[in-house]
Amino acid sequence: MMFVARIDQLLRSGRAVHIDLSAIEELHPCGTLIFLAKLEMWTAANPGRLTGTYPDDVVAEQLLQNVGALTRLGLSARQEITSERVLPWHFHSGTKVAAEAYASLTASVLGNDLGHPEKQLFADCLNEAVDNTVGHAYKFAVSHTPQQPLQKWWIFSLSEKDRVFVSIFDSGVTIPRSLRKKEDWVDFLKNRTYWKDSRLMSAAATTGKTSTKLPHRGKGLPEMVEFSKKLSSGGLSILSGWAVFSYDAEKDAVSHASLDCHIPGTLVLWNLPFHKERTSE
Amino acid sequence: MNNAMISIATQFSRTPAGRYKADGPKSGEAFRENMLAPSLRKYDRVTVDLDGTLGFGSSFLEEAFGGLVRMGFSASELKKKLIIVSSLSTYTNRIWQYITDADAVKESHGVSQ
Repeated sequence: MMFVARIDQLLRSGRAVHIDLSAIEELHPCGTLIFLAKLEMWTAANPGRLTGTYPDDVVAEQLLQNVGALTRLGLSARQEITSERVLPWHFHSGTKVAAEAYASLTASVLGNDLGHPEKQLFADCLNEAVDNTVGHAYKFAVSHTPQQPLQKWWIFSLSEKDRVFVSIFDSGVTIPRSLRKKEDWVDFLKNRTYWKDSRLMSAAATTGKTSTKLPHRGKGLPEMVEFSKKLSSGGLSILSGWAVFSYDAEKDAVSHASLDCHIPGTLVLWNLPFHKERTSE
Repeated sequence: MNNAMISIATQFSRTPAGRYKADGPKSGEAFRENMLAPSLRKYDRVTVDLDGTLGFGSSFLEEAFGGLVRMGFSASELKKKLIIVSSLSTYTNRIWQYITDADAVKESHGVSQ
């Protein structure tokens, strides 16, 4: 995030930025997704001020080419996408709840044995996460809010033989900040001023079993958590602003914590294994 | 008695999602306004087949079916006219819960038909 913050700072100060990608050896999906989203915002807001260097690593180049990152840096596409490590990655983005855009991801998950008694609900959770972004994430502006055409959701997914990994990002208001503005939460939090963002996010992500007893909460996060609770392993992490909430399916445990760095929006990381189902206890 | 059958997957979209028309092209509101409500007005009984789609999302289902109550249909009327067909009972249960909840909200606000 320091890398992203540094480029933000340089562009804000009017400088041109050259990103040297030559030393990249490995790309992590969560960081890469934020980078791709920010790259789209940077190049739209600062045309011609961002350039780059090809990665030395061919796989890294193929991946960044495949998701359009190199073109945004003024680098032409020169690789044929052949790497087995690149082909399973898929990148989608949009401003509307248009599930057709990521239908290939949904179909690939539903076509596998997700090891879940109601695997069809995966698509519901995904749609609801995107719906949350479109309906709530950009309801009011904060310092990192992009201009309207870029008030988007971004999805980066990896489909492998034994699992699917999905990351979803929006550059919106963040969950804790959004909740602190909602009328019913304002009342609820009056006597809980000591609640940190992470505890607030945990309350928002868990269902009616929590102590909040709030009637109108976003459905997307609790549905993802409930769905994940029927997985045998894998899990879900939601990073937003300064807070992270996680559910570990193997341990059947939720946790929340404060982050050392600020996420400029909300990042959902969802790890779904194939083939195994939790036995009834 | 005249009956109608609506297959969401084949007649509306294989990828329905979202609550309002402003949110996306295949939203619950669009389905309710363009297909479901007109059929309910025209036919004595309407069967909605949910199978064949790539999911829905609770916002879509709540707006499509709970929204019927908010636009004037009563829950008791819908219980007589509306049949939900799905291989996943979760969907059927949820839809009737959305209708019941919307009806309860309407009752609590004293909205009359």
